[in-house]
Amino acid sequence: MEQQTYMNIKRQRTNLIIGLIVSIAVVNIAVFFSAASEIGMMVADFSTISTIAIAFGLSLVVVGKQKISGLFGRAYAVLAIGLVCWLTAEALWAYYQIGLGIENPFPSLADAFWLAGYGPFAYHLFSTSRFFGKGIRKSFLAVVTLAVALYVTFYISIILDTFELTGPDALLSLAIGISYPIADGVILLPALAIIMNSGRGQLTSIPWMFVAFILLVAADSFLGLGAVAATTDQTLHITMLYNAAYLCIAAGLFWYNRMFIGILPKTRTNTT
Amino acid sequence: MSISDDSDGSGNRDKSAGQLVLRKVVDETVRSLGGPISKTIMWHMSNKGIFSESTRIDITAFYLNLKELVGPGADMIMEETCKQLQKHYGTKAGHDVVRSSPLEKIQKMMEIGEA
Repeated sequence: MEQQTYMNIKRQRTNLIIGLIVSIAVVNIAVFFSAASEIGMMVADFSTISTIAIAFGLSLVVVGKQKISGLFGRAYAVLAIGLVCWLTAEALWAYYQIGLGIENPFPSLADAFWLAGYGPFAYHLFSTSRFFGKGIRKSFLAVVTLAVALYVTFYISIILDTFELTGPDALLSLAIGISYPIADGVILLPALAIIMNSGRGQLTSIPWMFVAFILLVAADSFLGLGAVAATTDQTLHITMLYNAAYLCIAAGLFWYNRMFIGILPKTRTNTT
Repeated sequence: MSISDDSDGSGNRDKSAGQLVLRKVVDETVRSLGGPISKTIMWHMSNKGIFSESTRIDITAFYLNLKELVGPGADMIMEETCKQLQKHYGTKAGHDVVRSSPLEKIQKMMEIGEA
């Protein structure tokens, strides 16, 4: 019975990986092939809103079942807050683009929600990294910290070099543009460290959330750079990265719900 | 207090009391992760026979099985368990094994009978 349970975990992990890859492919193929058409922007905006809405919905399921006590209870409740911030930001961005016809709504109220989401995300990653990050050597952590610091410095220097906006919002744009890489650096640190420390434990071998946040940081870096440099005509890859990241968060929440708080307690009542 | 001096059976009682405290501390630490996740871990441990007795626990087997289940998370649970044990007893145990793993520290505490 026990062996069967662990085989089941392995099979479900494989299924989830395949499901995630297929989902990302389906959504991004739709985005890719509609990009040149009139509805390209609408499809892109709708795809990001849908994918983060799925993640947010799953986070509510997790919080509803798990409540907010304990290390993981608090971490997942805060993750849901971060997700609702970013869902609002994505919806506002789409409203500016499709509803108001502003092609590059930067800076805007959407940025306030995106930046507000970083706090909860950082809390989630740092608090759960207490669990997933045990055993990481301090020297390794120092190397990762240095790499992230170099990345943030390099990124900010590019922003300063390519800063082209003029007008009353120019300074605000620059400030927001610089805020993103700093916030990204903060969440990149635990994400990178945990991924390098992954691969162990039947339930924990794939740190889904941390993989998702690496993708988010990559998407964010491209977006921030494009927004500050006012080169938002090539955003296809950014949209695709966001979709992949949001679906990866959804996969992480699905796995957590299924393996940590869902299926096993049910199995327990059936088998004992 | 020495567990080797057992002429009146007090050593066994001390050992049992120590095991009971250790088991309680392990339970509390696992519960601090959150309700459902702690139930999942306890379910896995019960399946492996680690939690078959409510008053004692084979800490080495617990750690090895936990490691298999949640990877690096096992070390966090052991570290918290060790801290809580030390706090519970206000013990000096483990001071001479600063560089040891939490598992070794717990074993040491159980061995010398401070726990």
